[in-house]
Amino acid sequence: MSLLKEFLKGIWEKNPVLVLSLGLCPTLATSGSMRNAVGMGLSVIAVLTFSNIIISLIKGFVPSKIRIPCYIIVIAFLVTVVDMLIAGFAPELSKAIGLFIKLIVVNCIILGRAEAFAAKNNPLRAALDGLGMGIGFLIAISIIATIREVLGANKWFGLTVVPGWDPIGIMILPAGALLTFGLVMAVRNVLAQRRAK
Amino acid sequence: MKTILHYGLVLLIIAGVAGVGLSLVDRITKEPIQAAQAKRLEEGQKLAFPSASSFGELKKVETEGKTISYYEVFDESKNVIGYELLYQVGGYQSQIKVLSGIEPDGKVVAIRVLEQAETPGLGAEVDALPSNDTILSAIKGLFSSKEEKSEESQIPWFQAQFSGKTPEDLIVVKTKDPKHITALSGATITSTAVTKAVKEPIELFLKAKAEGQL
Repeated sequence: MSLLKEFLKGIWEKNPVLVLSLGLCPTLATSGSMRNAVGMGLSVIAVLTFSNIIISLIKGFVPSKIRIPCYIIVIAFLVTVVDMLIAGFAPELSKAIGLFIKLIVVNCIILGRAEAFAAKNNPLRAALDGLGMGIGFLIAISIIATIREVLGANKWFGLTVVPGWDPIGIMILPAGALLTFGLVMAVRNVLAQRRAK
Repeated sequence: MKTILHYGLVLLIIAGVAGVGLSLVDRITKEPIQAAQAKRLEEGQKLAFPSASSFGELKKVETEGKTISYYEVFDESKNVIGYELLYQVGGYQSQIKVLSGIEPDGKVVAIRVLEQAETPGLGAEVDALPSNDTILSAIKGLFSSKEEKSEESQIPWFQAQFSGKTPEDLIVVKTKDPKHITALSGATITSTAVTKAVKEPIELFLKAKAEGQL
């Protein structure tokens, strides 16, 4: 598979959220507003890319029987670094998504890609895979967040969209997250089937 | 035996490298993190008692088995002109931390919600500024150079309601009533929790003060 394909597959063909159904917990939890979604997406891109690179580098050194605890240490290390950097240099963002950052440790996209891809490929491919998967995650969560924030709060990035319109409150709640997620996934499937024909 | 040693060594090395790395990052970020927390508290203190010129150290007083943390508020000649009470209650889905500025008789000067993680769009609106910004006006704003930000718009409307009220007035109502606290629509639990986080410490604090515990 070419390097470009390695990068692109995470965005459409194997989108982690919409196709692999990984990382749904942070997707549902932080897609209530664009600001949170983008913050979460960018943090996942950073952690996923670096965890893929590191795990690909140490794959020969780690015995397969204890690979999972080793991966978890690497991922937890990176997440803690990101958490501390955000708390120190972007306190407003930390206030909004600080709670979710810690959850990236158990985000199954990251452990999933470490296990399924990074442990079997060279660091360059692993980095491209992480970057592509991260961007795919960011795109998916942004689409869901846009729909939810516009319909549920009549806002986008905190700015009013249609002055005077009373928004549909349920869209901002967990029920709205599940509804939107299902519909976006369905639309992606329809588009994919049309393309295949 | 050999494999156990091997596995243990690998784990030790990975954990060791991660530990050293973390302590290095901690060195870099420790100061900015503390500075950010101190800044947030300082901003909150000013907003909760705008006429103050300085604040005392954090003190604690215990009454009825509950601990109230408070700061003394000073004017320019170091006279105590009021207090700021720090209190935390459970909201709908998060702990809500509130700083309330009060006069010595318990009348609220202003309050500031320091920390909350309530439902976005509902409970989290306790922090909502009375913003009239729309996407259109924000785009227009990008092309015009003048900044229009009045001081008043920095205080969320829900929190502004508490100013000038006595503890007895702090009752949540669902219809607009300037004498009491009007609930956020769809977020009665959060509204009640914030009101409790203001009212309860004031009552306990006044009691402790009357008993001469300060």
